[in-house]
Amino acid sequence: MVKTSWGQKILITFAVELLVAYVSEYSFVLYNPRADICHIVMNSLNNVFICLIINPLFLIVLTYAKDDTLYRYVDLIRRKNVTEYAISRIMPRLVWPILVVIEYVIASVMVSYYFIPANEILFSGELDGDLIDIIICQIINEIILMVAVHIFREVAGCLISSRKIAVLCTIAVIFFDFVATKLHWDAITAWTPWGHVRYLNGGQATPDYRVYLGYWMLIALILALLVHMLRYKRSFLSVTSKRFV
Amino acid sequence: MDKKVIEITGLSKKYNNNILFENMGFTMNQGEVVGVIGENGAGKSVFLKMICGLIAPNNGTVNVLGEELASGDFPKDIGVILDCAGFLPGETGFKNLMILANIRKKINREGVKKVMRRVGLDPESRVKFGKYSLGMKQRLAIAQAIMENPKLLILDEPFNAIDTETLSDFTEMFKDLNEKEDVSIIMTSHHAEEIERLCTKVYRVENRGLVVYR
Repeated sequence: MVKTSWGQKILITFAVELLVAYVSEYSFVLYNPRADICHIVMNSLNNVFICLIINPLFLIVLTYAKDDTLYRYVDLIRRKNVTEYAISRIMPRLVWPILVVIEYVIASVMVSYYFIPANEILFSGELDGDLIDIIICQIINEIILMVAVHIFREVAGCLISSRKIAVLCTIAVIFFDFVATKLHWDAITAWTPWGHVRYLNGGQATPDYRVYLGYWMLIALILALLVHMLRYKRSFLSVTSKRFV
Repeated sequence: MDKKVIEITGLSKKYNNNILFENMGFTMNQGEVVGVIGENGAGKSVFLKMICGLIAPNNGTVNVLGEELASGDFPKDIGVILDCAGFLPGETGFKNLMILANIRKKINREGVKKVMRRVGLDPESRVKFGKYSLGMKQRLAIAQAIMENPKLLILDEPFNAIDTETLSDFTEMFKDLNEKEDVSIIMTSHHAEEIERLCTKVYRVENRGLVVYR
């Protein structure tokens, strides 16, 4: 595998995010010529296709390629306990989900400024004070979404003892959730970690969007418990691949 | 009174539907070098892994260096060699050890280089671990076990793939660690001669427990 530096990785991900943001916002501006910068950015952050499909898949590709330090007793016995080991494996990889979202937000703002002169319309203030609040919550929501996708894949990999099947499982859940969201199967999407990625419905803030923060905390707690359950799981403690000696 | 480095009471372990140990007791004092022998599949490696905290007993308590191991905990101040270390094949031996050294931060770069030279490896070598011979891999495993000055060494077949000339060097090195640095050692080996030379006590795994062999 060709090794890339952190700088190169950041540049590559940013270039892809810039392209994704451009396509998303171009189609939005095409049908909403009077949109201001906040609407454009919010639409971009709210785009189900990007939030539920492109960014999670992007994250999986990035972290899957990096997954070469699995199951080593030499590392394990230098930790205080199995939980510390599990956290030490997962935490550094959470840098990517956060980076992907931040890069995407920066790319969205840059692309929005590119589109604004053509519309010659400044911020209209239609959604007034709640707007920034909603955008910040949406950013937090997307970061937690990416983190949940990553931990799900990590935990599934340890429980199933196969990295490839874990990736396929995660992708299957992502696609199922995407389809469920598109078809407005609220009864299903409400109970999946990815279901409440959208705070807005048709441009209007749903009244209880802040509740999702608690919802995400609950998901994080369940995932932490799953990680805790990995103790003494044989595949988690032993080297299972012939690649490692 | 001798200080106990390992104290096991009432230990039972069922593994792959076989009862390996039943209500077993075992004590090891500081400064001892203990050998564990037994047939293949008798449970020698499982026994060592239970001391490391990598496998949980079904019943009983395991005390290592004065602390009882709770579920999922690993003992402090131990050095371990087990069957498969899982070093990164794409990194040099030195880089592999530095990654491990950065977890506890007990040893610096110079310390790691010194340990590598002690086991006969060149820390400046650009050869990746994946290109190492079996003997070199085992040397690196020994280096990672001793590099942080552990009080207790747990060694499962440490002389595997080591040629006969180097074997006596390592036996002397472990002897030195025991005599000069007061490191306690518990080990399994198929090399009866080395067990004979090195160990002050030898146990055999049989009848679902450990019996004194010598």
